[in-house]
Amino acid sequence: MKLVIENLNKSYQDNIVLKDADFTFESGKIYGLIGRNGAGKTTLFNAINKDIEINSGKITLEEDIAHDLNTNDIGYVISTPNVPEFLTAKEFLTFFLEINEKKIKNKKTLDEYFSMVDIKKEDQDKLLKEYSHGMKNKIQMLIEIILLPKILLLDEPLTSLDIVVQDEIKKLLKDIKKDRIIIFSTHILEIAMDLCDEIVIINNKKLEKIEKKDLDTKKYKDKIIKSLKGDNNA
Amino acid sequence: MLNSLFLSKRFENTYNINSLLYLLKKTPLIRNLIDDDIYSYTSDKYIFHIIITIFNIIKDIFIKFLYYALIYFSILLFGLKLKTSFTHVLIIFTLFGIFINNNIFVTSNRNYYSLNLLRMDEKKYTYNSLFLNFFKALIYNFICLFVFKYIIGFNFLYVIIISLFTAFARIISEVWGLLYFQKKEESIIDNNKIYLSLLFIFIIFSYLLSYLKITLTLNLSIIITIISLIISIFSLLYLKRFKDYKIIYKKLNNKVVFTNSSNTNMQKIYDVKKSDIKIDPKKLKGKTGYDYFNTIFFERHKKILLTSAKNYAFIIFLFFSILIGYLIINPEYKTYIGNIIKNNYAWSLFIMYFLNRGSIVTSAMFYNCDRSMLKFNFYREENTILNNFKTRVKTVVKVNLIPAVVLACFLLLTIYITNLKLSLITYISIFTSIILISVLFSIHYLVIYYLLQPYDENMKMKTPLYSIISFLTYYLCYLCTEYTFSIENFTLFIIIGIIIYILTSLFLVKSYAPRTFRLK
Repeated sequence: MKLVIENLNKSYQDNIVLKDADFTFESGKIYGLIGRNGAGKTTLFNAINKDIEINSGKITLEEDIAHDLNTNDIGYVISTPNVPEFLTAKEFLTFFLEINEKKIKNKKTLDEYFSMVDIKKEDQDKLLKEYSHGMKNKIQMLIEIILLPKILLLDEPLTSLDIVVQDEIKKLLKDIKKDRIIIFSTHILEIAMDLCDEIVIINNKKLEKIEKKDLDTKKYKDKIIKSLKGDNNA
Repeated sequence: MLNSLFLSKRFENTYNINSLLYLLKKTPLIRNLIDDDIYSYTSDKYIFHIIITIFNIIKDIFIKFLYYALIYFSILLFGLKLKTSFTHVLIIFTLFGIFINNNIFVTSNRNYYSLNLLRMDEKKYTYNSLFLNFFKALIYNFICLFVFKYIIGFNFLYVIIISLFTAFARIISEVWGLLYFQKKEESIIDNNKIYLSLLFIFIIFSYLLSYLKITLTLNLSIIITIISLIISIFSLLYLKRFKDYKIIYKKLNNKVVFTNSSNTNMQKIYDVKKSDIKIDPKKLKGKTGYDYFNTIFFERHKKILLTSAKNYAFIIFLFFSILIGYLIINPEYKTYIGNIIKNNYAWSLFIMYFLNRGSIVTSAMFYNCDRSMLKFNFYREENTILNNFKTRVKTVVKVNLIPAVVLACFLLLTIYITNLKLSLITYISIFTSIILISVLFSIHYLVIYYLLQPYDENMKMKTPLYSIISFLTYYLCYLCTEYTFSIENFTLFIIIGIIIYILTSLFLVKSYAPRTFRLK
């Protein structure tokens, strides 16, 4: 399975964000998407998730045959979590499981799901309004992990999580990456290098893979930073 | 399908019940009666769901009755014949509803949560809402028509026909909405020009035709209902074949959620247009610190602040010009109008209450400024809060004075024309009282804003105390209209009352605002 982006163009009025961007993401890999502030990472995610209209280009999913992306194929964890504030975590998850009963494989109990993201018993009956940013993020992440979509877009998901949960989530993502494409945007290079199989940067309005080849971590990191600075000889 | 309908309703009810409990938990005294773990058993408490469902049904029927009563009284007001005009106007208004009342295009957080997060199936979700709206329209309209049939005495067949027509209209309106959206990339409710033109056309068609005694006959109404039945069948087929629900819901609801506003209308009110962002550099020349900051804020919000104040001033001007013109042409009414003003002067308080833009201004302040600025410590310092309050009071008072001065001047002019024998002191106290009432409301909204800071960060909720105080303000103003005061007594009472209120509230702000003006 491949997610193929061809000649993608997106601009907001005079501000061109993506220009003839091409890239092919392959299943079984976690991609770290890195770019400077305002480079267009969230725009790319929104375009893949069909939240915004693109100006031109194609985004297709190549399975047995290439087809347009079906929004059910995609899971998207946004960087600023937006959850129903006046539901408790338990209520939210119960509704979610009831509604998606037929789509979920290997259904587990509520407690098992909550323990996946380390949400304690005493917090399960609290309103999501009272949850911290990180806890809301965990809830968002949890429902995507339960559904296991073919493409998982994660917009800076680990930044607000504590290091224990970060570690858990990293393990989880590594466990589920088989047969799916995970694209993970972050500003923290260490997380990207630790977790991701490939590093892709958005530079000069295009997507570009940074080859590691036989570079050691330090040299690879320098190469990424140089590329982000726009040094073409990197 | 019924399963998913119940699930969807259960989700909505649970959300509403929890919101209510949350509000109650924030209300003084009541909060002590509520357990901390109250939320843990709400989803199982079916009694809550039953109460809230019954409450919603009663509320919906009540609103429907209000709508029918409005039509009833408007027909009486225009002196039209109830028996023929009532059903005619209802049918024409239902036709209007087809164009503007498209349920899919009502944006909300609930849609976002249900569809994007909980992943309800969009098609099922649409069918559920449609199914519910169809039966609500059928039953609620039937009940209202049944009652009004006995009041007005039209043919019973109308009860059946119009109930059916309103229900079919719900189906047709969704298809019309989808077709329009696909072509124009917007919903018709967002296009004020088309919306108002349609409203105008339909009002003309309904009332003007009734006036000309051209009304829909029973046979014609039956034919319209049969045609609507046929169109609804085709509409259902279209809705079944339609595939892009998900895209449409996304486009509509993501906007609401990501701008952190609970509805698009609020957003429209408070959003500053791009053209207003540029400020004439002369206005900022020589300004520093908070003076600079506040000037930027008020310049960018000039439209929100000034447009409605100017509009009101213009309406007052127009109203009094017509009244004065009328009195000049028909001097025999002078005493009559003079007496109305004399005996109902207390209404000035009620009218000024409606003219004041205080609550919109404070909402705009919070939405576009304070909700982000209050996160900084320097903005929460005592001096800063009090200085900003002073600057804001001055600006808001100035803005609200525009309609107040126009009202005061024209009222005095009218009084003068009606030959009411009033002393010069009374003239002065009338002018003073109107200006003071305007100052009162300007300060009042700011004071409760600073003392309660009623909004949560996303403006999705207000503290109950704010609603209670707003209601009490309204009720007090209304109460004044219930009693007959002489102009002299009323102005004296109001001037003293307002001076006491203003001094007390300024003292309260000075003492408490540095502690109370915080993000919730």
